[in-house]
Amino acid sequence: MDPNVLYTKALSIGYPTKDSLHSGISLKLKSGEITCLLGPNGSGKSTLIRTMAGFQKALSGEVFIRNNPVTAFTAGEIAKKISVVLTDEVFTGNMTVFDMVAFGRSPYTGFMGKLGKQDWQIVEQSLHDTGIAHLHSRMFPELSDGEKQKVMIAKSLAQKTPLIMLDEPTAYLDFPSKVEVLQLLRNAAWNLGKAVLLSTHDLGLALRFADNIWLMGRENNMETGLPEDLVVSGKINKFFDRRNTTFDLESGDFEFTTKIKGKVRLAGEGLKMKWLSKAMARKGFQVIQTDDAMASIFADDEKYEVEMDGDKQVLKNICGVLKLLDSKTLKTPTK
Amino acid sequence: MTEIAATYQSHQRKYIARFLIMGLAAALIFIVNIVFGSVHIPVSDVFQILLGQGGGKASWEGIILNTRLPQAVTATLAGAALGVSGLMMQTLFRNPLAGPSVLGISSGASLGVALLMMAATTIPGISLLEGSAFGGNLSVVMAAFAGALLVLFIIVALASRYRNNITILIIGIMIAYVVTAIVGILQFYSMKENLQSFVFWGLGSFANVSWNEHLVFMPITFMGLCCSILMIKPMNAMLLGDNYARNLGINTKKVSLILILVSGFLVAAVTAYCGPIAFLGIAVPHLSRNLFRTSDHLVNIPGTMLSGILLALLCNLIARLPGFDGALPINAITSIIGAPVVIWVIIRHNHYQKM
Repeated sequence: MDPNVLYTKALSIGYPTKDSLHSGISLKLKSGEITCLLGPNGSGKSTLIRTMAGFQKALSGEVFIRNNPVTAFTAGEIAKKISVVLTDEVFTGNMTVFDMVAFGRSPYTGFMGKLGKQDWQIVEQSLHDTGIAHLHSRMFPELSDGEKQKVMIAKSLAQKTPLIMLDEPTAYLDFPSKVEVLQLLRNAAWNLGKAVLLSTHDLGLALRFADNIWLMGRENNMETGLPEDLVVSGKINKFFDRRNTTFDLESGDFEFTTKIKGKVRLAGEGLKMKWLSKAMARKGFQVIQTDDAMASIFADDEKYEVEMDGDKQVLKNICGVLKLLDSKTLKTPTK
Repeated sequence: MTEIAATYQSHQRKYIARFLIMGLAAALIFIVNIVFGSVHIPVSDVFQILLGQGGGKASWEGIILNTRLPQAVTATLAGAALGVSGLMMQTLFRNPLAGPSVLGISSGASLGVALLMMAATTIPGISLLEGSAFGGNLSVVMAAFAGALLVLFIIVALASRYRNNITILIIGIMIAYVVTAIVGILQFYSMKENLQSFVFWGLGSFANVSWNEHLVFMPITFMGLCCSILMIKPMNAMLLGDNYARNLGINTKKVSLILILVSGFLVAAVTAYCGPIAFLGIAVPHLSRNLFRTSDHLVNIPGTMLSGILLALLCNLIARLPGFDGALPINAITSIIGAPVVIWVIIRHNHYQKM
C-alpha cells in the first residue's frame, strides 16, 4: 500500500480575513512514522492541524488523504480516516473511561450507537494498548491530566484511523507522563502502523522520539527533516535561538545566558564534578583554566575542595560550595 | 467474559432496575393523582370508572374522566417534555444552567398572551372573560404558541448564522429580558380584569387541557419526545465539544439546529397549554444525571422523561392537596419542591461534575 497517508499540495493556511499564515506548504505523513510539529506560539501549528483534519478550510491548495482530496469526503468518512486529540477541555461529567474510549466507535456504530461484539473487542484492545485497562470504570473527570490524555489517545485508537493528529498532547503533563504519552504514540506508529502527527513545545523530547520533525516559523517559513539532520544543519538553531537562549549542538539541550558573577577554576572528575559545573553555570560562575580565578575548586567522588584567598576548605555538598562562593561575591563592594 | 464486559453489564442491570422502579412509582403517583381531589371518591369507585364500568354517583364519572384524568395526562406529558427539552439545551450549550426559560421561549409565549390581553383591552368586541376561564381559552393557547415560535425562529435564524453556541445562549437571554420588559409595559396599559387573567395564566396549571385540546397537545409533545430518542447518539458526541463531535462524523451545525427546534417546540407547546412552568426544565436533567450517575443520553433521555413525569405528578398532587382546593399555582409548587430537591441531590454528590 502507498505509505503516504496524507499529503498536501501548495497548501495555504490561515483565516480568510487576514493574510495567510503559511503558504505553499507541501508535506507528507507516512504510516509507521511519528512526526513532531514544532514552532513558537502563533506560528500556526494548530491552524495547520485543523486544516489538515478538515475542521477549517484551506485558503488555497489541497490536502489529500490516501490520494483523495479531503474536501471530497463526508464528515462520516473523514471520521474513519483521521482521529484527533485536541486541546479542547472536555466537560462530559459522569462518563466512565470505557464510555469515553467507546466514543471512538461512533463513526462505525448504528443509529443508537450500540456497540457490537467487534466494537467491544476494539475498545478493550485500545484500553490495553494505552495501558489504562485498569481505569475502565473510573469516572473521566476524576482522572489526572496524564490519564485523561491517555484516554483521549485510546479513543483515537478505537477510531481505527490510519492517521492520528494530536494538538499539544504533552502540554500540562509532568515529565514522566510526557514520556509515557510519547512512548504510547511511538508504539501506535511503529507497532500499529499509524501515521502520527503531534504538535509540541518539548524540543528535547521531540528530538528523541520523532521520526520526522516539521519546524514552523512565524514568517511563513517551514523546514522538515530527520531530527538529527535538522540539528547538524543548524536549522534548529535558526528557529529556536533567542537573545538569552541558544540550542547547544553538543548536548542537544538549551543553554541560557546568565550574568557572570565571578570566575572559578574547576578540576576533578566523576559525577560530583559534572553536576558542580552545572551548578556553577546556573549560578553565573564562569569556569576558566587561567590564574585570575576568584577560587580554585577540586571535586571528586569523595569531596569538594575549595581554595580561596589562601584558605583551603573541604565541603560536603554543592550547597556549601555555592554559599562559600556567594559570601565572597557579596562581600566585594559594588560601588 | 472479560472483567470490563462484566462491569458494563452490571451497570446496565442497575439502570434497568432503576427504570423499572421509577416506572412503577410514576404509575402509582399517576393513580394517586386521580384518586385524590377536592371531592372525595372511594378508590374502588375510581377504578370502576376508569375501567368503564361506571360506579357511585353519576357526577363522579365526569370528575374522574373529564377533570382528573386529562389533568394527570397533561402533567405526565408536560413533565417529560420540559425535562427532555432542558436536557437537550444543557447538552447543546454545554451549560448546566441552560433551560427552557433561558432561550426566551417561555417569555415569547408570555409576550403572545400579553399582546392578546392588550388587544382585548383596546379592541371592542373581544373579551377574554367570555366563555370559559382565561387559560383554557383557545385564543390564549394560539397567542402563547405564536409568541414562543416567534422567539424560537429568531433563535434558529441566529443559530444558523453564528456557529458559537454561547453567542446564541447570550442572545437568547437578552431576548428574554427585552420580551419581559415589553410584557411589563403591556400589563401597565391593560384592563384590570384581563390583567388578573394574565397573572392567573402566568402561575401555570395542568388543569386547563381538556380532551379536545389534548388532540393537539398530545401529538406535539409525543412527536418531540420521539425526536429526542433519535438524537441520543449525536447528543452523546456533542458532550465532547464541537470539534471532537465533528471528528466523530457528526454534522454539528445540523444537530444544533434540530436540538434547538425540538426543545423549542416542546417548551412552546407546554407553555401555551399550561402556562410558563418554572424550574422543571432546568432541574429534571440534573436529577436524572445524579440518579443514574452517568451523562450517557441513552440512559438520560428515558431517565429525564421518568424523573420529569414523577416530579410533575408530585407537584400536581401537592397543588391539589385537600384544603387548597386546587387553588395552588403549579409554578410556585415546582419551585418550592424542586429547588430544595436539586440542592440536596447536588450537595449529596459533591463530587458531582459540571454536566
